[in-house]
Amino acid sequence: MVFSGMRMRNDDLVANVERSIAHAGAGGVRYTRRQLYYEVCRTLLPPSRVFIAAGQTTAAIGSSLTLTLRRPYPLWIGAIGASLLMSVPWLVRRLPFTLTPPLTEAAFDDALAMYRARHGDPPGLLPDDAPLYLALNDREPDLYDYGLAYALVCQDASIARMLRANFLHMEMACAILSLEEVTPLPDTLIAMLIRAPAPRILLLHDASPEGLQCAADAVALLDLPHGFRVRALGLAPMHALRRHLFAFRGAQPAEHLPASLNLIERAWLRAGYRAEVAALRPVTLLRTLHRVTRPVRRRESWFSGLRRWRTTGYMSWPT
Amino acid sequence: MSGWLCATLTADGPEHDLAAMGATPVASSRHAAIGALPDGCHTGVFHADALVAVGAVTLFNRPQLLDALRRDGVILPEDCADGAILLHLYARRGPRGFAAADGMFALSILDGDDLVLVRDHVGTRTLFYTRAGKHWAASASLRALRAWSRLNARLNLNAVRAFLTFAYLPGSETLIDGVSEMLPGRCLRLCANGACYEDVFWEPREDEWDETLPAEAYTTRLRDLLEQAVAARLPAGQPVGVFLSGGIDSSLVTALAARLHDHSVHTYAINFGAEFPNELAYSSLVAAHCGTTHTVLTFDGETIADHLANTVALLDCPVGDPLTTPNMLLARAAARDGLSVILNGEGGDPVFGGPKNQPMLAFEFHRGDPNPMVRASAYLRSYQKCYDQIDHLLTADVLDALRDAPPLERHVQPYLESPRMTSYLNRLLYTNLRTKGAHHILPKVERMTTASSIEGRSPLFAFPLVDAAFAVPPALKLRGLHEKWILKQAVRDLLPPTILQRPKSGMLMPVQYWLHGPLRDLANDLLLGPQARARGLFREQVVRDWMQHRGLVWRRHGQFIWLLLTLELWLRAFDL
Repeated sequence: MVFSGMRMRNDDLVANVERSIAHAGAGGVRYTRRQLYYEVCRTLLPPSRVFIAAGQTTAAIGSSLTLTLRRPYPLWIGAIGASLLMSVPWLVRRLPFTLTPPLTEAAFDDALAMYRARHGDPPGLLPDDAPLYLALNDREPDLYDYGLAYALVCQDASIARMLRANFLHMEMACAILSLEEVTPLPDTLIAMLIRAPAPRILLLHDASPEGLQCAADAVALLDLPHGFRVRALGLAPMHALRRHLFAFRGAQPAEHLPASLNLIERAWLRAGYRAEVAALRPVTLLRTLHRVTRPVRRRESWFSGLRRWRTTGYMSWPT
Repeated sequence: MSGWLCATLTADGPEHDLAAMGATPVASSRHAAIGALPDGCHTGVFHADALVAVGAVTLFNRPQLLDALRRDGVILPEDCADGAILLHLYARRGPRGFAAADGMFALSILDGDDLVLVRDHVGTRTLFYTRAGKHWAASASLRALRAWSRLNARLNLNAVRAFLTFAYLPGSETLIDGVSEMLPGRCLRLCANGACYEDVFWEPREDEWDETLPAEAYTTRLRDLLEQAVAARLPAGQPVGVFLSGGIDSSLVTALAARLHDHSVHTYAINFGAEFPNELAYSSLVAAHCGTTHTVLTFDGETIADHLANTVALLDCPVGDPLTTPNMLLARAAARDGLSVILNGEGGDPVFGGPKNQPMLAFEFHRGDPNPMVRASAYLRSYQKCYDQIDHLLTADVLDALRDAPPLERHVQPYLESPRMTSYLNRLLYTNLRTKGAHHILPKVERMTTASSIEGRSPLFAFPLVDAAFAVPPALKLRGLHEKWILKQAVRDLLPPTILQRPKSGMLMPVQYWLHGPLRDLANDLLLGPQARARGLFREQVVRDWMQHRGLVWRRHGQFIWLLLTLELWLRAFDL
């Protein structure tokens, strides 16, 4: 089988799919076909990218070490070297770039079919045709007398199904629906959200012109009642770039982009790139959503102590 | 230990069996005998007509019960024992006589050749019973039954699975195969011929509410009942203690105690070191507001590790709540201060709608499958314990032995689908009350306080208050996102607004942190040592992964390891 200039034996490919299934489903996570595709891409990631990143890091560290250790350079050169030593790996990790998938979708389908023929259905893989949310729930009439703090709306219906299949709606005590399920917003959901002091819709979209447009038009698109707020959780292009996600190129370059994007994001989108939420590791997606929607109690530290002093006026700047 | 009663029903030599269990017989008939175990407190022997009973009984509505007996023609002295009142009620009215008794009781009655066992309405005190061959035995102490020579004590694997799912044992099942815990609000008649008859003298039920009534009508009624419940639980002529976390429930109990008690009120708050989040600001605010004598206790990881094994050994059924040891240490501190009664705010969540219902509301919103088992599964999952990890954690041999075991969902499904309640929220509260309330919260309080020879009382679990709560429109309990709204309204004049408006946080223990420090060696030795390996319950690699913070989507490694640790300590304490 051929992909991205590499040739692989079928056995190796099936073994890679098997490894990817183990990664995607680690801890009992359930995942979509698209997420498995990206997981296989990660497993097959060409080593060249790793070599390039490692080479850059080694060169930077080596030069900074040389500067630090060779005399008679003054101390400040050593300090610069030491800071480079610390900052270069950090910089390499944070360089904004996305990756090209090493496997076509058709090749992945073939590989998955081969896996199925040998081992049956992958454990944890969700069916593509899972049912949509049932708008009518007349079993518990008092359900809509209570409140929900927010609803998470996903641009991609398969992602909404995946989050529900992993019971994220119970972890976060919220409704999780896809865009197609909430256009228009069901009356039952409005009835519950309206009882929250500040009803919120959290939007999870792809890093693509359509995703960003969907975030920009959400209020009109969902026909939200007065008082409802929309908060876009991403995926923003910078998220995709910083997490080095797999991105496709070839989308129609966007003409109108939100003003909030920075230059790098604009350039990336204008070059026709797009990245999907599905490209995140399933477990990362679940944990990230869980974290960003819950208040986190931080342990007291020296730094938080400083911040507290500032808020109480101790050694604060005059205002 | 409280209520260390013991009873046997055997065809030959019941007194001999009783003595073999370590009890001193106090009464016997041809086939049955009852007795008291040594080192017990709150235990008494009671007589009424031809009946004799042994048990632990504390009543909070003595005057009403004495009046009721007087109307039945029974005149008892004002200073008679609580147990005698209860026994006379049974003698006159049968099992229904217990329904009117507001109190904490576990009683064994010698009724002819039958044994009658009684457990109070909400399950404050516990009773266990078993049948081996043609013989019955019952005790308030599981350890005494474990020592019964006729019982072949083996580990109940079903209960292991239930413990990993709930962090306690939610029904009649215990970790000893064949030994059952009595359900609360029940009266059980054990007969020499092997028959067993159960009478339910109280069960929560939903009263029809009037939607047109203003909320004030409900707050007034609840306030009256709250005052009555707290006043009845205050010790006459003595100071009283209150476990004060700073949450709404313990704060309102503190405020009512401070207002209604004619002696000093001592409050106790705990924390785990200055570097960890705590609720001390809230508890201190309430203590200052109510003018109590406030004590803050700090328990570090080393202290918890030192006392963990002893705490677990005090429990008849293990409780995987990390706060169990701090509760025991707190009760010990209260006892050192000379207190005999300590109140707590337990019960506010199951009775008035705490925050744990939100995940089930979200589940119900999305529910597509009408199968009741699906809802019961979701309820088990909402505990956030090992439910989804059981197949992964247990060894192949254990899973094989459990292949035909009844599903775990049976513990909650009857409550979640109960026709007694029309409202979904009320069914969730009912489930919580009958599982966690009766088998985790109340037994834990009772065992931890009795170990220090003091009595822990929970006014918010008073059954008249529970009845009243189920007569309140559910939307007033959970109003939008405001939990326990009606309860807060009922006491809003007693507490500072900060307490009334603060979100629920719960008492957080840095378990995960301690498992890398003071508890690390203990966990390693216990869970990966030869004894645990020989028992063969858990896959060693899974335990190792969890101890190294791997293998779980939601990072609950600390909680899960704590469960395993508790179970292992309990099994060692009970030699299973």
